[in-house]
Amino acid sequence: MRNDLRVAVIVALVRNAQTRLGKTQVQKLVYFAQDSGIPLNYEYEIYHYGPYSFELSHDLGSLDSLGIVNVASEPSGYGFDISVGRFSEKFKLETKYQKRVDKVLEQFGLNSAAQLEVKATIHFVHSVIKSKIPAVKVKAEVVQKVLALKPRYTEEFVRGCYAGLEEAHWI
Amino acid sequence: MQMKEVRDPVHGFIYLNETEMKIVNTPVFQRLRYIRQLAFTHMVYPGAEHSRFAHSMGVMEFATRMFDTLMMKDMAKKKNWSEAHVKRNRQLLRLAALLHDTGHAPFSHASEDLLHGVKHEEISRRFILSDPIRSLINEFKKELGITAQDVASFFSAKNIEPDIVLLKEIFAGEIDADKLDYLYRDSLFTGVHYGRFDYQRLIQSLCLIEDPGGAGNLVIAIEHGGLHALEAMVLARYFMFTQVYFHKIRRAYDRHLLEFLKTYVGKYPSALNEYMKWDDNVVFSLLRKNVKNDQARRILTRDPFVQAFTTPEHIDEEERTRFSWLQETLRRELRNAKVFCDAAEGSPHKFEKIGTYVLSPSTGTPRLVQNESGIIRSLRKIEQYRVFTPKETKQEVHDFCTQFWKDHAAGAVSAAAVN
Repeated sequence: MRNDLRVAVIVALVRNAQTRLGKTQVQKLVYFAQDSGIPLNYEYEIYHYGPYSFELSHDLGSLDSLGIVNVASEPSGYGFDISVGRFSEKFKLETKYQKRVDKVLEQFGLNSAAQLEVKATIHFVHSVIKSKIPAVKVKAEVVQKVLALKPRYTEEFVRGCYAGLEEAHWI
Repeated sequence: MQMKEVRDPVHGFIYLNETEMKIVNTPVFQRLRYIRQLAFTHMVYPGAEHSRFAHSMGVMEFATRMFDTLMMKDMAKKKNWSEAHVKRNRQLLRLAALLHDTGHAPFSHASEDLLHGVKHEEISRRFILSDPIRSLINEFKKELGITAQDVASFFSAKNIEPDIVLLKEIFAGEIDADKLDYLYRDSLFTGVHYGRFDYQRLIQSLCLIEDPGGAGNLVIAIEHGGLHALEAMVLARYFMFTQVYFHKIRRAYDRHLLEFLKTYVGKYPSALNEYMKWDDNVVFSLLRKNVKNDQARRILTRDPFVQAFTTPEHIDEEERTRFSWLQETLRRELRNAKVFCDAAEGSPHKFEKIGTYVLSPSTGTPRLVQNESGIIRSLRKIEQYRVFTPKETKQEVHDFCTQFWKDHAAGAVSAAAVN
């Protein structure tokens, strides 16, 4: 049975995004939309580019096939370009959820794929370890774990992303 | 360490070390002999009697070959792994691959709905963390530093260990050991030859690259020489989906089984020692004891519901909405006919696009396989819907559905409005 709330959230994110979205961006924006309190029930785990839901990936394939979104490989051949499809119009979100999607786009909509990848990874790692170690050690431990998962990013970049999430009260 | 060899129709021989053999000999693993890989598919393809037992060892073999190929292509150097680290990770991957299906319910995916809202991977994780499997895995602790918790991490969504993230991709990623084994094994046992492909070439062409997005993550990709083998694998999945996994009669049996079990079992036990007792043979006994139940009778006397209507394999949202409308109307208008509807999205095996990178033959730069392969670019995810009914009402349901589908087609509706 299809979950139409999931479809409506994906469509709303793709429709209202300020920049072109690829698969990584959609994965991370839906991750934060779910964290904001929209009951999407996607199970996320750490994959290539941070938190990733295989079920969401299946859903994107279905929505592409049905014509609700279009998933095309971009001309450079490196990534995908996701846009709304010809059957996207009928999917509307309730106001309470639309506000949360708007908040996610306001916070993260202009982030690069790299920023989204690192921010979502920080958030994920934070949620896994925050209850296991003393509060004063959480930040250092999260940064260390994220750098182990993403060794090519600099500590400065990871700390900057962490600070951004803290300022926005996301962690 | 002495190795034990096991004959296997896919791999020739599979080799296991002493501790792996001890794991195979536990009741938890032996139970997999009595869980068919493809549920009731043997009612359609009589050869499909193979079990999760051989598949699990096959996944371990494929995972090992993939790991060894990546090692030959400098994975250790790229990951800064020492020799001891390589040995540990190879064994860790083998254990996770071997144990990945231990949590399966009877008839594999067909009765997974009775698992208290968890997936079989979670039950596998619990078996790994419980004796006897836990103690046996911990035998590797002294020599290789492997614990049961490390193996269990493969099956936890909360894993944040970098090595496990990469190793997991080898047996549960875009091109993974699980898919390679089940496609080839299912093809062999069903006799549906579409599922075969040149897996040796595909494995040989695996490589580890920095992702082209510039973030520096290491991801598994394919050298250009393996492109046709990859295309063959993708087509094998497509054909196996349409011919086997989503076969109309197999899906009807799955449904009868599920309905029967919901009535007579409700949910499988949560306690592992009780859950362990459930396999295909126990369910068959239960079916035989309750042959007066309509679902059991249909399974045991080979009288399943039959397909009365199907949409095309690829539909759009208008057609999907039309099918929902048909479903509601059917239940309202044909009250005397028993029907159930089935969707490809409800199948445990799904066919969809993959996003693997292929290295360009001239420059070596990675490009998405969709850009390199016209065949893969043109394939769409299967979105097919069907209506099933007893054979006695097939004609009536067929006529109703076909007429409804025609009358409510997008063009037909607007033409009627104009008239």
